[in-house]
Amino acid sequence: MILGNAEVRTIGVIGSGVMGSGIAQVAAQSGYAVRLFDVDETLLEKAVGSIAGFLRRAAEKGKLTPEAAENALTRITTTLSLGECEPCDLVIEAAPESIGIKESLFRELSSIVRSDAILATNTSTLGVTQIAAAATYPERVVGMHFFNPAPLMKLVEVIAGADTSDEVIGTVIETARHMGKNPVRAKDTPGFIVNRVARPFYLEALRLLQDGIASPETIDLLVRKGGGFRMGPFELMDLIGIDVNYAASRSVYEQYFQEPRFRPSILQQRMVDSRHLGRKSGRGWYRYDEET
Amino acid sequence: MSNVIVIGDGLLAQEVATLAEQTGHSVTTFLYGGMDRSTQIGQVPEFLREMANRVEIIVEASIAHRQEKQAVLAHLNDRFVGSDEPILSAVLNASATEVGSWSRHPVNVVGWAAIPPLVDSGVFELMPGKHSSANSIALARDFLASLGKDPVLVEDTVGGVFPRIIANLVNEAAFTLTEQVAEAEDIDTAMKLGTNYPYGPLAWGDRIGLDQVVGILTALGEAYGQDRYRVAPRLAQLAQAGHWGKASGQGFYTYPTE
Repeated sequence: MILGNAEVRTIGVIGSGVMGSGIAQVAAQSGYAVRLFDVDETLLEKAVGSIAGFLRRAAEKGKLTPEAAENALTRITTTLSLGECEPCDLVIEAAPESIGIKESLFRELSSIVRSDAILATNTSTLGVTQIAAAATYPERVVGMHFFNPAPLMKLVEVIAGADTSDEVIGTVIETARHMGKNPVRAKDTPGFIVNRVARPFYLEALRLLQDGIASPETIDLLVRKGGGFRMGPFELMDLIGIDVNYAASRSVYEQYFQEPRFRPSILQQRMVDSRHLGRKSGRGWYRYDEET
Repeated sequence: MSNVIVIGDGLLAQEVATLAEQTGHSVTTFLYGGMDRSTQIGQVPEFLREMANRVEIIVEASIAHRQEKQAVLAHLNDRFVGSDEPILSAVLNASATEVGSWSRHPVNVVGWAAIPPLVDSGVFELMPGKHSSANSIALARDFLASLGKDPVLVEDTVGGVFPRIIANLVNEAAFTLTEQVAEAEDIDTAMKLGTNYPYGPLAWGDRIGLDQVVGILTALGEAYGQDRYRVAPRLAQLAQAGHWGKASGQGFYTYPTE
């Protein structure tokens, strides 16, 4: 059995949400044949619509030729049947962040794809090793963590689970490079690199606020003007969604067995309780509604 | 323009001294530790004795070791008996109020904070202590503004705002490196590309000086709990080895000697 040495030509993408459709677009633009799977036909249509819109706008801005945009779109086939992933050399799963959903997907995919195909998960909060354990060949399962929006963000974290083979890692790194991405390799640990190392950016800012040292506005100002960050921690939390950021904090904290460095803040919890979730709800650390 | 003395052990002190010179102040500098290993804290009294002109502003940025900061304050106490020059003390490893408690003239002590490289910064954090006089605060504010950056008033706290956040980013990146989650270059690349940080945290730590980063974390640990601010083993080891980063040629990365 060859592990991941086969050239990747056809890529399956599981899940047509924001991440799934973004990954499908990147893959199609890079010349891969794409099978985009979802259980929901409406979501699939919406995904293709948004990919087409994105490509059209990119063509209008002169970032790619109209032919390239058209070709990319024709490379994407949507499907409601997981079995259609059979010819895929690489399947990238971007389903909801539920271990149950992912385990059953990887179990099922194991019996669909060739024995030398690679199964990748785009999970940001679950363990690659745990997902891999549900597959028939855990050595062929790998983390391939894209960042939102996937067509624009250059980074891909390539995560080795406990049993992932070096060949599989190598093929996925090569594929990510071919997609124009900058892959970095990381071990399967909570938060991988970015979602872990970024924790203090938010948590120390929250601690400073809680201790009455400075307001969110002042802390954001000091971070932006103090050293070239594009956004301060509170502005960024509002953009990401305070609920999403809080969930990431809790996930890393719990997975590290309550390591004190990662302890979430009561202020995050209060904001989530009050449904002030940031830009998406019109109000977070700042107000985005019209009366202000 | 004022006669300024700058005493410190890291890039922060050096950059403030340079900035003061560039903005027309008359600056006399005493650097030791990470910035000049040929000098020692014990030479501060001699340095102060040789000051010919009347000193108008004293800037202190001893970050790596709290006991050395305390020693600098003791030397300043001996030299400036009964005088009222403001002492701008970098709060990265002690709050302005605490530094004030080490001074015979707590009314003169005003806290400030920033993190190198100052060329990227448009602000200084201004942190008055509990005893800082209105006059000292005004003089400190005017001096920081004269360096071409906006002074922003915040409550007094050890570590300041931005240095505290950056030191903890460096520390978490160092934990990630210690645990062999990823290579140093990949950690820095990930933070720049994945979340738009201006620098990778490990390269940034090397630039600031790892002795300085450890100084901030150690002080935070004493004030707010050792568990949360525990220094990553890899970072602690580099600091102990004198591999303080770019200035010493070796830190998380190796730098060619000039």
